[in-house]
Amino acid sequence: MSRQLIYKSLMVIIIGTITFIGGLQLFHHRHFQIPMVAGPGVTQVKKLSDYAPGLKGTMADTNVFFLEGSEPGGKMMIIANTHSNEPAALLSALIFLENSTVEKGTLIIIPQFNNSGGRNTQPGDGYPLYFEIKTPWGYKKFRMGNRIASPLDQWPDPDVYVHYPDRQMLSYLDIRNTNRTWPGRPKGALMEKLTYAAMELIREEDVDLAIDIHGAETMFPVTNCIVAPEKSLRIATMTSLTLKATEGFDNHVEPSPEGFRGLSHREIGDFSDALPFLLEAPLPFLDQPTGPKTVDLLLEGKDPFLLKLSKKGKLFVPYDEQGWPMSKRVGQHCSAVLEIAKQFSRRNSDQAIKISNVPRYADVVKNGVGFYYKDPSKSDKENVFYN
Amino acid sequence: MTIIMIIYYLISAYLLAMLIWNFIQEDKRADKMLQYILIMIPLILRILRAN
Repeated sequence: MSRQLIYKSLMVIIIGTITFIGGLQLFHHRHFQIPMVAGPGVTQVKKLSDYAPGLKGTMADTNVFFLEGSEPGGKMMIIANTHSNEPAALLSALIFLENSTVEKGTLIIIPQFNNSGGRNTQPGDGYPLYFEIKTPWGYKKFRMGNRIASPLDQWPDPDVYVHYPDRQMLSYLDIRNTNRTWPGRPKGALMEKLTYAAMELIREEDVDLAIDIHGAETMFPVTNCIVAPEKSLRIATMTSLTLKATEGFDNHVEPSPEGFRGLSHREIGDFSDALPFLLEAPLPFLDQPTGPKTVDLLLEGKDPFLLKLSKKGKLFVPYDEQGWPMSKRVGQHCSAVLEIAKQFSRRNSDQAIKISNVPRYADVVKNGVGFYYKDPSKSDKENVFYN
Repeated sequence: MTIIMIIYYLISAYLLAMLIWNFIQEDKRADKMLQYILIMIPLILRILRAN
């Protein structure tokens, strides 16, 4: 065997081994399952593909939990993990899923809306693959996902993403962003099929309120707020004012821009009778001028660079040495969702939605997020669900 | 699978074949050999549909 052939073979073996070791971590991350314990209020579990068969058998299909009250009333839907790198959404949705009971009306929860994005990562930004939440029974492990769906599930990207049906031209990456592909279409790209399925669910089930939970940079003006189109503005404003007066945290209202297409807070309202809302809580992890993207930064939101910027008045939220911990973000989301349901019920008594056993902002800040999670190993196996 | 996706798979296969050919033909420069292997990785993973 020539020397050159040995040299080339060695090169292939070394590079192949390094690729295999690195790839194995990503493979495990993609296939890691997060157990979700259906609480006492869950009455039905469906798949999103039940509303649009095009999703069946794909990584975009996801669980839909129904919590139906004994009395008929309105219907509220919570969408979490539209952007899977904004984990306060999933953590809030799980609190509702594992604890709430519905007395009147129906609560529909999609905890992992962009399931493909939740199995993707941003290695170039040094994202951690997992994070853990402390609970009374140990640590609950979660995958840290990405903003957009995995190219393993939707490929190739176009040069320019042309939104359907408005034909607005958007960034090529946004064709994998499930907050740019609403209202979707049944034979489009996979993420368009996903948002189309959610629209079908909203229309078929006559959903009254659709709440999409997110997180945003502290340097981005649309943060710590409720984004609402014209038809939802009154409820959003009353929610914001009430939360400030009774629970002491800011959550201002941002109008949904009519000319920016593909967003849930715009298209859900335009293509169904539902009132859409998008909740944003500050997420320092997403800001660009921070230190390393560690699990601590994700969970505690403390960063020395952001602190300096805050002192110079460059942030859009109050920021001090305490950072912006996960419990504050999740607590805000819990209170905002409950308050939106309450404000809607006040105006529509025949369509009221009454939810109990969900902690509010002060409870989550005091007890921590993990306090409200059930131990899947000690729960009835029939009640433990995986996506 | 859409027609565009099929075309992209064919392009990937063509590029991979060219890279393998160049890697085999290269007999002097180690940096070029290494470069060919590294560029091959995403194309191989895509064609094998490893996920």
